[in-house]
Amino acid sequence: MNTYILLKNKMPSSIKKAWIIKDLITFFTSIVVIEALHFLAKIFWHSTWINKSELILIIIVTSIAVFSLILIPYKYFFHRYEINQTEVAIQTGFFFRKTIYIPLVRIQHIETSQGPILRLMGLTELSIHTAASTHHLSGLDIKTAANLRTQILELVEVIREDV
Amino acid sequence: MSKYQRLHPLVILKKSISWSFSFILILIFDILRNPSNKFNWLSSTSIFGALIAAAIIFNAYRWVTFKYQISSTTLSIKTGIFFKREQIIPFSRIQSIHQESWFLFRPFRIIKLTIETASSGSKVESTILELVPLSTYDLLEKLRLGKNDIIETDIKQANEQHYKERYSVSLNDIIVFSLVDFNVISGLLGLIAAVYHFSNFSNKYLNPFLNRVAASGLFIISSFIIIIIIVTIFVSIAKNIFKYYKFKVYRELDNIIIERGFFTRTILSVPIERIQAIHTKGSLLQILLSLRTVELLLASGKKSENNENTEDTTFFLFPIINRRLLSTKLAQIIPEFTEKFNQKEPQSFPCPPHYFLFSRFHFLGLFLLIPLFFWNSSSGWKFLFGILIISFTLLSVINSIWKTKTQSSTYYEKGLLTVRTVHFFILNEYLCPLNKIQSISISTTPFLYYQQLGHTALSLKTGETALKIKLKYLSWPICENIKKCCSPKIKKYTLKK
Repeated sequence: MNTYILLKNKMPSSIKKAWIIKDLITFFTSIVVIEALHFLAKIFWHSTWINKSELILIIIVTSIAVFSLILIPYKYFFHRYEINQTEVAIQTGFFFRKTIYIPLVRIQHIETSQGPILRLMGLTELSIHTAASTHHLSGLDIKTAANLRTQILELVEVIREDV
Repeated sequence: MSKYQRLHPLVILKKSISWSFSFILILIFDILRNPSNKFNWLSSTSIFGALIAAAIIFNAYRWVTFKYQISSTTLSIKTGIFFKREQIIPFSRIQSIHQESWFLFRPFRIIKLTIETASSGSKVESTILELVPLSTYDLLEKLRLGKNDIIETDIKQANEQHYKERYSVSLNDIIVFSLVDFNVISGLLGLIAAVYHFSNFSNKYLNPFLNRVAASGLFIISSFIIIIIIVTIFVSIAKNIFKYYKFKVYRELDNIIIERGFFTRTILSVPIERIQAIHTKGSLLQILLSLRTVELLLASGKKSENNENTEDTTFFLFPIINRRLLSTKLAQIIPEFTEKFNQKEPQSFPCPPHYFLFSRFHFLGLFLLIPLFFWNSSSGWKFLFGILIISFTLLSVINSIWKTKTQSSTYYEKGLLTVRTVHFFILNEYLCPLNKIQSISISTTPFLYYQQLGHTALSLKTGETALKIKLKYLSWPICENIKKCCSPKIKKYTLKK
């Protein structure tokens, strides 16, 4: 069996921490929301279904959180990117493998954004806009992002093409 | 032209009339609320008058504040008093120009111009000059085509050469088009749905009528249905005749000009280098009659105002054309695309058919038969549902087999890729210039990768959404080959580390 060719660059390893924090935050907020809904529902209705549905929802939320926490190393291993002379390549997934190639010439603009979690880790999220679609590269360190930016600006100087 | 100009003053009248048309509905509802009361009549008409007055005042304000200027390279537009906005459109960024002339305004030589640019992301920016004299359009076109330094006589000669009509649609063609088009069927379905909906509401009134109809026999029902079908067919024919009346396509320098329409005559001009792809469609019926429909895919999609024609996002190049004529007509109108076909060795990517891989998921539909088996109902219903499920599965399997047989792609040097796919029993052929392909993605699963297979998807910008052209179950080296061919070649550039 041929081995699947993975791209060169992994995300910086601190992205794992960011993903863990993100997962935990979504888990706790959803638990809080469910509890609040439960509390309100108990005031206004009287039904045995309220407790049951609360239990089911909590089980669903916990299992989602546990799964996504377990899958973080997997996601980290297969979430890769590569920037070469002509294109940006973004790779995701093991079971559903997908590689997107974006020619640098086609890039319309690049957006960097940084939420509080990513800022804590010193990372930025890069959104690459082409005329047709937007591709996200979550978590690059600031230096790489800046490099990419200058590189694309240079290429724009070399080639002038339009939609 | 260096001074800022206003639109033609008739715009106030046109806009106000179109506004008051929408007010009239409200007025009618208001009167119907209490038709016997005279005071009600008076009050609602006075409200209507006030609304019209407000519309006229507002439109006059708009007319006063809206100014445009055409310079040698740009079109600039100023709007507003309190919030001033100036919009500058370089001619080189224009995607397409629509010219619409309403039949009432035709004697005044006044037209509506819509100028479209493709802005980033999903938005399409369009600028509308509501009513301007025809000479403005001519001037704009002249400047845009860079004719301003050519001597007048040369222009005339050039015009005589290029204005030759290359493709036009006869009345016959329009009728065939509307019969073959899916619009007829969808219109019928829409009508049936509407009738069904309506019958739910007024069950009381309709039921006795239906009973009477049923009593007088199936003959009347069937004739009724036939009449409905005929009426819808005629309506769709009439609609298409008005829309594609005197449809003409011709080349003018680097532009394709498309003229059409009966009441409102629309002239669309598209620069060749702005065409994202050319899309040839053939439904089953069209293939049987060896006919095709050709569309232009553009980065801009015309936003229809007032929802008059919502279908205006498709730009037909040839609404209906014989398959044998297609290549010669294309060669006449867009030689830039077709001359690349004459290469000696185009690189075609082999797509061997994979019958099982394509159709395997469609067999899952058969699992619906299992709950049917346990369902307690009369055997007639069971039989009917069983037949439905089986025929549906069969159809989708046949579709997927057709899909895998026809799927193909060819690469022509100097930047052209042709892709042929089948989607819901419609044969699609795309001619894409390589420099319009925005991104390429290759996807696979471990199971497919073990067999060295993968999918390729090309994304193009069309209108407000991206178009994805998918080629499925190609062998892995071919996926990579397509990617290599499609990625732009950049000379004399080295990466700075």
